[in-house]
Formats: sequence, structure tokens, C-alpha cells
Amino acid sequence: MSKDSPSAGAGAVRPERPDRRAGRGVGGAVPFGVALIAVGVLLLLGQLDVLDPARVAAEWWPLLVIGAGLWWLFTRAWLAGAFALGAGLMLLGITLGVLDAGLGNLIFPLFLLLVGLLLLTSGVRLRRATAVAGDTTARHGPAAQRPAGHVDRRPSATAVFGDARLRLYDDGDDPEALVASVTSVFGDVHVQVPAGWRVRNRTSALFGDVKIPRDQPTYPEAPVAELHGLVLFGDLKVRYEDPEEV
Amino acid sequence: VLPELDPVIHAPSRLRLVTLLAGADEPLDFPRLQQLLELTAGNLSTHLRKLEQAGYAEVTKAYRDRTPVTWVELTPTGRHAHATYLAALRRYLDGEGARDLLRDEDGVT
Repeated sequence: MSKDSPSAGAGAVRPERPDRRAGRGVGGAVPFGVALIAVGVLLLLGQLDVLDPARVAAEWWPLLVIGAGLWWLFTRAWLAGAFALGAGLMLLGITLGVLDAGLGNLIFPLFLLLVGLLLLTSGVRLRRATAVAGDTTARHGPAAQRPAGHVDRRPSATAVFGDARLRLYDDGDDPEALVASVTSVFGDVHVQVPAGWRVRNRTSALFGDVKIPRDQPTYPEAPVAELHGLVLFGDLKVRYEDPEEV
Repeated sequence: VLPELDPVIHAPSRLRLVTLLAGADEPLDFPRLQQLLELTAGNLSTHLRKLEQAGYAEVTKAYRDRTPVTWVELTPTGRHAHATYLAALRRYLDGEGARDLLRDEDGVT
């Protein structure tokens, strides 16, 4: 047994670190638990004739939206958190009579605000993405596999009311991560990833569907394809190339 | 009479991988396997998963100098499958399997 093999015990190799994300399942129960406690306290106070639960709920229900926003901010879902917090405060202002506006009049401006925020943040991500070397049709791949011709160093695909395809190749340069950007607005973007790669989804989806293969390799050495961008009323479909082609 | 060749091992890259692991007295790490077999990380990952899913290879993940490392070794099932594969291949290579097949056919007709 070599000095640094996994069974060697003490020395250079330590047991695998626990996955920080492992506790997320438990953490996700926190906001739900807090909401249940709040409702329970409200009903209890109602039974004790301290207050009228129906009236309190009618005025203060936006606190749930605010709470969700705070929770999302806490879990670093900045965009969703900021939007929910802002919307919750606005709704609370309306229900308490501080703001003079109808709820129905706010839906459309809020929707535009959300789409604008999504576009802005995806723009930031796209700029980051294009700073990493890559190409549209061929990122890696032995010369024999890679299609000849133009090599774009900025892998990206955009589909607006249509389909776009992005195929990534493996040329063995072994980057830690390949970043590709996708934009789908009422369209479908199909991304083909080399077999054996991991896929990391960093896109923002609004009324869109992102389908990432579940059966992914878990080896830390496996290359990563990181997808950034915006999926708006569209689909992002990622699939692996046929492993038998490898 | 001509034995089946295990498709999990028979693919050229996986045959090289299994042969290497069978010849090693200790687990081998991912980068070393990649270097010895001259495979890309993605290709090695693909073949490793096939072996793992078949129960032929066991993977251990650990950290070395704060860097995650994957260690690989053949399971007893994998070693047995490799030995069976080699025995089957020998019957192909020395012509014995073909001779037995032809002899059986002559006996029937």
C-alpha cells in the first residue's frame, strides 16, 4: 500500500470532507417551520380573544413574502430574495394603507421589474462567461473528432422563438471548468456535453424549463461544463454525447 | 463454444483500464490513471463509471493536500471478470474455441 493511497490512514490523505450542501434538506424546512409557528401563534391568540386572526392575516400576510425574500437572501439567492423582499414590502404597504395603489395595477410593473433584473444579472454572467476561453461548436476534442473550420472562443447559444444547438467537445486540455452561455427566449437551446463531464447549471429561469441529466459523474477530477445565461419562457435541454463514441 | 467476451471489459479503453488496475497492487489515483492511459479526464470518467456501475471497480474519494483525489481499485468481482475475460480471449487466440466449435458441428452433421 503506498504512502498516499486511501487506505494508508494518516499522512497526506484525509477522509472526504462532508458535503456542505448535505444539510440543505434540513435547512429548507426552516422557513416552513417558522411560518407554521407564526400561524399557530396567531390562531392561539385568536382563541384567547387577544386579536382577530382574520383581520391580522388580511393586513399582515405580505410578511410571508418578506420572510421568503429574507430566506432567499440568506441562502444567497440574491435575485429572488431581493425581488420577494421588495414585492413583500410594497404589498405590506398596500395592505396597511401606507401605499395607495391597487394590487392588480402592480402585477405588470413587478413582472417587468423581475424580467429586467433577470436580464441584468444574466448579462453580468454572460460577460464573465465570455472571459473564459471556449468555442461555440467545439471546445475540446482531438483534431480527428473536432469539426474543422471556424473556432469561436466564446461558447454561446441564443434561441429566440426557435431552436439553437451548442455542442461541446473534449480535446483533453482538461480545464477545470468550461463556461458556456445560453439565452433562450420563447425558444429551445440544446446543449450536448461530452460524456464523463459534470454539468453545473447557473442559468436564471423564468417560466422556463432547464433539463440537466441527473446521471452525472461524481469524480472531482471530471471536467465541468458550467452553463450561464437566461431561460425565459423557453427550454434548456442538456444531454450527453453517446458514451460509446468515446 | 466460443465464449462471450464481457462487453464491459471488451471496449479498448476499458480493457486497458482494467488490465492496469488488475496489475496494480494498490489503488491508483485518477490523475495517474489518466497519465498512464493517455485519456482525457472526461473519457476516463466515462469508463470509470461503466466499471463502477458493473461493480467491477471501487472508487474512494479523499483529499490530498486539500485537493480532492479519486482512488480506484478493482473489486473481487472485477478481478474475477478480468480473469474470465482473459480465459475467454485465450480460447479465441489459440484457436481452441474455433476447433471445438467446428468439431461439434461435424458431430451434429
